[in-house]
Amino acid sequence: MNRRRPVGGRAYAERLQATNESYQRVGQTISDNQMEQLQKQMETFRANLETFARLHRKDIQKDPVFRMHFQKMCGNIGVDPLASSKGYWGELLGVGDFYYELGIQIIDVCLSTRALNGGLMELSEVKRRVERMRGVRNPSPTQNHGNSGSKWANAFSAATSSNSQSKENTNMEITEDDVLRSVKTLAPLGSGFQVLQIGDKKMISSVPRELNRDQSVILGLVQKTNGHVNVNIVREKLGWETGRTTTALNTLLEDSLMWIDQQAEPYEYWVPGFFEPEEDDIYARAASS
Amino acid sequence: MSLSAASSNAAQGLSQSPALASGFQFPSIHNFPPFYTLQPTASTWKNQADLWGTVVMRYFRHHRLYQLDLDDANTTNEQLFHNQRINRRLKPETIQAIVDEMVKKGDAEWDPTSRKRKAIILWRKPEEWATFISTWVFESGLNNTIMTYYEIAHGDNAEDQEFYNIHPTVLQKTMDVLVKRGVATTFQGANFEEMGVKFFNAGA
Repeated sequence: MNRRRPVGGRAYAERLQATNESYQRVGQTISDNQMEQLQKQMETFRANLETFARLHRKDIQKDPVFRMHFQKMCGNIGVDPLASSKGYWGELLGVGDFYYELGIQIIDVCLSTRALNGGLMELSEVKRRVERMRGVRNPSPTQNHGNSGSKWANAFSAATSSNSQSKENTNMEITEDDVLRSVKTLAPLGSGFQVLQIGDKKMISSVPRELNRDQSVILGLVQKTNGHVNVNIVREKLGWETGRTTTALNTLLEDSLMWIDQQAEPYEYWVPGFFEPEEDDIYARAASS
Repeated sequence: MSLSAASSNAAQGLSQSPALASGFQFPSIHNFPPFYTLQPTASTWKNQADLWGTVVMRYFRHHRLYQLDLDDANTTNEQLFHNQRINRRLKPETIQAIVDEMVKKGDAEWDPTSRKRKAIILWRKPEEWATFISTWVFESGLNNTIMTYYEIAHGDNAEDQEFYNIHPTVLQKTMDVLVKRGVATTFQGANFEEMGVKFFNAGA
């Protein structure tokens, strides 16, 4: 009927405008309400979290398990209180300082052992040394990989830990999770600090590098062969021919990640990444076995 | 420093880091087999040489030794450079390379006539010895009198001092420092031990 009536008649246009405006008004009201509600919720939440954090500040600082749970909770809602010591959360909790301090200790541990291990160290070993630096008397062996923990670390803890695990030390205890978080916060320094998955272990690398596949596989294998390999062992375990093995081993030597023992037949290639300078005698143990 | 040191280690077994009979304890890298092979990677070798240098300095300091002699099949060489427990031994060339690195750092000096077979290990610098000796002289009221080198190195008064039995070469270097500092003057003697030294008054 009115099909041919030109669209956009004045009345129509006005009505359309009015409708739009009213929609907008309603929409505005709704979103205002929602925003207000959200803001109220946020405030409540923030107040609660603040109270919670105040109440538990000590626990967050000192209890590694509690800290991890708190981290997870904050992570779930998109808050990262540990990102820096400067922000609101950092000031409130002092937790940024915690990771800052831990970061310095990790750098210290990694640099002081770099001469020996070429800047690659097992996570559990980094943790153990940092704990010793923090005055934990009986650093416990790795928590996350209790069973697969290195022979070296286990041998060490067996040798040094008295029967009773003292509870007084808990205030300085840290978890591997803390170390990993802290290493991530070091990344922006551009110094090459990173976590590498090698075999079934996490390793902290303090030198900018990329391991190729063969190198990673060899380092993974060495974890199961008491820290050293030769071409025969690699052939037996991985089925590689000598050329491929030698290439991989030589590049690991060049990267300072391995040391060669030419008084063994065939030559033995060692990873000193687990080396413990003063207190234990792990290398004699391994060599005599 | 007897020969029994090595055997008492063996008796101790592998359960603990062994200390020598002298009380000296090697760091555990001394039991790391590749430590006895000159590492082909330059940066690794540098670290290895540093570590060996530290071990040598500690060993020499602990035992108050001064001279390293590659041709002497003595306890020192056997304990330091030969690890019986893991059946590894440093080659003489590798020891020379290690001492070369120590020389670069001022931690050792080759005996110039020995063709790199003998070296003095400077686990204290002559400057440090100079301070020790002059302090001792003034505290003992021996300044303003002429003493012989022998009295300093082997005299009864010096028996409890760290520089007791100091090596002649090191003592001469120390005296050179003292003269240069204007603290003392030396006098020629018939032989090295009869060389004389007089420390000036503190205020003079």
